Amino acid sequence: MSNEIAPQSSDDLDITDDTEAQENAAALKAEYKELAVQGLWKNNPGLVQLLGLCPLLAVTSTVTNALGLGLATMLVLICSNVTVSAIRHWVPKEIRIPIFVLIIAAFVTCVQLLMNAFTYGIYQSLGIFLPLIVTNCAIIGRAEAYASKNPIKQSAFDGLMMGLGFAIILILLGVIREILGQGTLFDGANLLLGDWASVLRIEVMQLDSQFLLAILPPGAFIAMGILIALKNAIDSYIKSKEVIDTEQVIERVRVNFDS
Amino acid sequence: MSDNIDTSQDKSSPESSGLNKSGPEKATKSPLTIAISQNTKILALFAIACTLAVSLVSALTKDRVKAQEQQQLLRTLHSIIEPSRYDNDIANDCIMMSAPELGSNKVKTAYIARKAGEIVAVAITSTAPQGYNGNIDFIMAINNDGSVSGVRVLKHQETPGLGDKIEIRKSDWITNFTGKQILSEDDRRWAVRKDNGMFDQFTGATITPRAVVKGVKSTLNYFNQHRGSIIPRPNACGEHLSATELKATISSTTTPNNGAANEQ
Repeated sequence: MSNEIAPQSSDDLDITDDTEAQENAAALKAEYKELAVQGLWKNNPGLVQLLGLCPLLAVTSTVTNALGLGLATMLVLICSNVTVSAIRHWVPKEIRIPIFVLIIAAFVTCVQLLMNAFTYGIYQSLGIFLPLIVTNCAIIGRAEAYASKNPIKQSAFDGLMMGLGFAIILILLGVIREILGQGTLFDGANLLLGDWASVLRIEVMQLDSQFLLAILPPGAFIAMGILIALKNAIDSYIKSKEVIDTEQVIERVRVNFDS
Repeated sequence: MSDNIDTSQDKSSPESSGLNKSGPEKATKSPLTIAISQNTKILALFAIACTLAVSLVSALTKDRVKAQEQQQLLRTLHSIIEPSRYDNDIANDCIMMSAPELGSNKVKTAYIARKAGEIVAVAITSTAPQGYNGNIDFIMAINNDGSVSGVRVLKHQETPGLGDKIEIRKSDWITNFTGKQILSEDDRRWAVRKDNGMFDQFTGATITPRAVVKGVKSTLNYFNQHRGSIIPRPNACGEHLSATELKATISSTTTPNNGAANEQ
């Protein structure tokens, strides 16, 4: 647009271009920041959207498993977001869902094959939950809600943040359950990261008998509930702080009315 | 988009009322059929692209996956038969068998460890069918003298924290079998302590160890009784071997006394 004005004064153009670019950059920055906040906290797939609960609860009995599934999900989420965003102009609206599912299924299969080839141990301990990433609503949800409407870079970042948010919750649950259940951390990390990682294993506390509830699925539900409650408590604490601030303003207004 | 839907509704309503009037519609393609065929093409295109991508990755990782599985198998075999005790390529020296004593009607594999051509031990995959939560797959190595060289659980769905102590990762209970012998077919010592046997049960889980002990006993009995007929079976593992074996079976169908003898 600014090109049409160009012949009149080149100095002017530079300035407008600069400010425009700056505005764009600022908008982009705000967009990225918003994406990060949404993915990691406000709209966290694990804590708020409660999507993909099945793998979330099933594989988080150890940190290693949680890390494996978290990374796999994140990888699939980024790849599917990028692809969906890249093809968004060519896909007719009516058949977008089957195409998204196709793309996600293809990526999951690829990730599964790669994990089978390079991290065999973790592939075996994740079992059925690796192919089940296909059915994780968080992935198709992001494809539909964000990637199909936004450019590639933002979609990739969105995938990264949502995946990270999901992975963090998985790992948190894994930490809680592994410490309570087995008294260890990173047990079997060498399955995921190679033989050097066996030094990562930490004996947090010595347990005579394992705390079964933490290892079994009900323990995952309870830990998850506590995490959600914690998140809500933090949110309401922040909110109440804000309310106090606004209340003070209102009080002043009221005084004005009375007088 | 909305135009498409509108016209399609217009088209479809007389069609449904006037029964089958597909004849004239074929000549002038309706917007609906155009849309459908276009969407089908796009969908097919994506399906092909995705299949291509998956098959590409599959082809690239195939060798590596196979190597990983082989390595895993070797690691398991090493843990139940000392690597110094044999010198053959054990993962590619196996026989197939199937018997109700092995816990399921699936075909089981047995790997043969040889030293200088002489058999020193045989590792049999088997199943203990009466686990707390379904089948427990295990592999056990049996020495020449009929004693157990080692047992490892391969796959199970026992309760985590209780029954999963049969895994070597969780507990060394499974090593109790090492060196044990069976004296008669119904050796009473082959049971958990609760049943006056020689194997410990776990606190809180008796069914799982009971099932494993029973499965191991049954497999050991089966092998000791049928040893003579099992061992001479032709090799069923390894790529080059299976190729020659295929030839051997083909030739053995034409000249029966030829192939089988070569395989041993």
